[in-house]
Amino acid sequence: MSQDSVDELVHGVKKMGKPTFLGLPNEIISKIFTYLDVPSRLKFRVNRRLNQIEKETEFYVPKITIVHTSLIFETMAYVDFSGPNDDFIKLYELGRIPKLFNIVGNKRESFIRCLSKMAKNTFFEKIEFRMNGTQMYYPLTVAVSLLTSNFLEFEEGVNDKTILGLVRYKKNAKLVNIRISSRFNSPDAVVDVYKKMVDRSIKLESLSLSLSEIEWTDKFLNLIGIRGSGKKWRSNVNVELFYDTSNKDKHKLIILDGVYRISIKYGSSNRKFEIEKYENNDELRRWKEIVEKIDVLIM
Amino acid sequence: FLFPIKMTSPRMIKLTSNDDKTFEVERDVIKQSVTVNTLITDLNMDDEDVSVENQMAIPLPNVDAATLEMVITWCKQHREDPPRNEEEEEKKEKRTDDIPEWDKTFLDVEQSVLFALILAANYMDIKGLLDNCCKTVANMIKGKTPDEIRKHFNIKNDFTPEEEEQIRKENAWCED
Repeated sequence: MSQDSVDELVHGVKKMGKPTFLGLPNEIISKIFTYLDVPSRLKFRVNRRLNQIEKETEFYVPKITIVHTSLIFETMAYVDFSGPNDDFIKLYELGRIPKLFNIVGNKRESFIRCLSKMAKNTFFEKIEFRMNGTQMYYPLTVAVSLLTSNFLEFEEGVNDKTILGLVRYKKNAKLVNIRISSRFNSPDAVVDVYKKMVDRSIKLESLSLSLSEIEWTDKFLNLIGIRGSGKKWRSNVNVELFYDTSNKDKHKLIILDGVYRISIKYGSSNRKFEIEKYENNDELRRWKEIVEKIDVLIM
Repeated sequence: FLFPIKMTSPRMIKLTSNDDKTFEVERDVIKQSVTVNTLITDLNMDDEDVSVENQMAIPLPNVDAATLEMVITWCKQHREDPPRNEEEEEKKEKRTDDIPEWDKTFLDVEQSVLFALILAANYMDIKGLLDNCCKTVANMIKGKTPDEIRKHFNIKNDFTPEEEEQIRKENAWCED
């Protein structure tokens, strides 16, 4: 459009009354605030009205990484997080991110609910979720509940069926990675999540967790249709099995199902599971040459 | 066989500004205004039998003729834009460097004109125009000190000394 034609149109507008910035309604000013970077946003609080509108305007969070979460006692929760940058931290400190505001010092239920609200109201590109601490009884539930926005059915002491329900609820959510170390995950819960990964009803790139009870490894494998031990294995699904014994202390069983690689590290007191997508590339082909392939009978 | 091709002229809609000027605009162009579109549907104005001459004009009591003309110009330019998915728009990163070149020139106007367009876009519910206007205002704010902002938009500082001190403390971390 030429400047002349703009000028012509503008000339007409100027003849009418002149709207001013402060003549704009609050909701429009709030919208303008959302387009500002954090320093500009804070500097734009140039009078009482703008200061109030800024306080009420939630901050858009494109990425958040929860780097460490630990529960010290049943009733106390602490969360340390790094956002996209320092701006995020500053806004958090100033209370402009109400979704996170009540986390510190609140009861565990509130903590979980806060995480749920974050998941519902924030657009996550990436979540790295690590939970440490043996007081956390249902870490997988908490992690998966990040995928959900419905806490009506959530109660303390939920079982794995609830997890499945939660996973089903938010089909389009995407978690890049869940890493959990806890002694309290059950194999059923892991299988539920794995199956949802396979049928793509949740978008989860990788899942990493520890199962403490040694027999749970067998139960997990049974649940996904694989049985056996040593060098005798049977399966009712089309998979490839490998032993990786390159590390003498912790040998690994690797299952390739076509899309995901499930690796189970056999530690002395626990089993560490990693489920992640893989690409059938040169690297994988080279890897297959150095590990021991196990024949699997189809059941 | 040759069949005569019936040439149909596009359906037109009449809009009246608050200073009683009437504009005829293509139905397809003005569909970008949710407010007008809803009125057209509610009043069954898409009925083929009603000619534009006999059609009732839609009054827009909050928009003056000059602003309405600009709004229509914008809508004509953007008639081919794909339909917006508001849910997706909400989730999108809030950027201000993605205003199309045409819009940048179109919105490079005096503040009062820009604010009149914002009010009209808000009233007529034309989200694309409203977004680009708000982004333009945001770009005016970016990089300015509070005093420069006050001067630019003619905003009076009505903070008490205590309030101002508090704001100054909170802003200290982002001062150059």
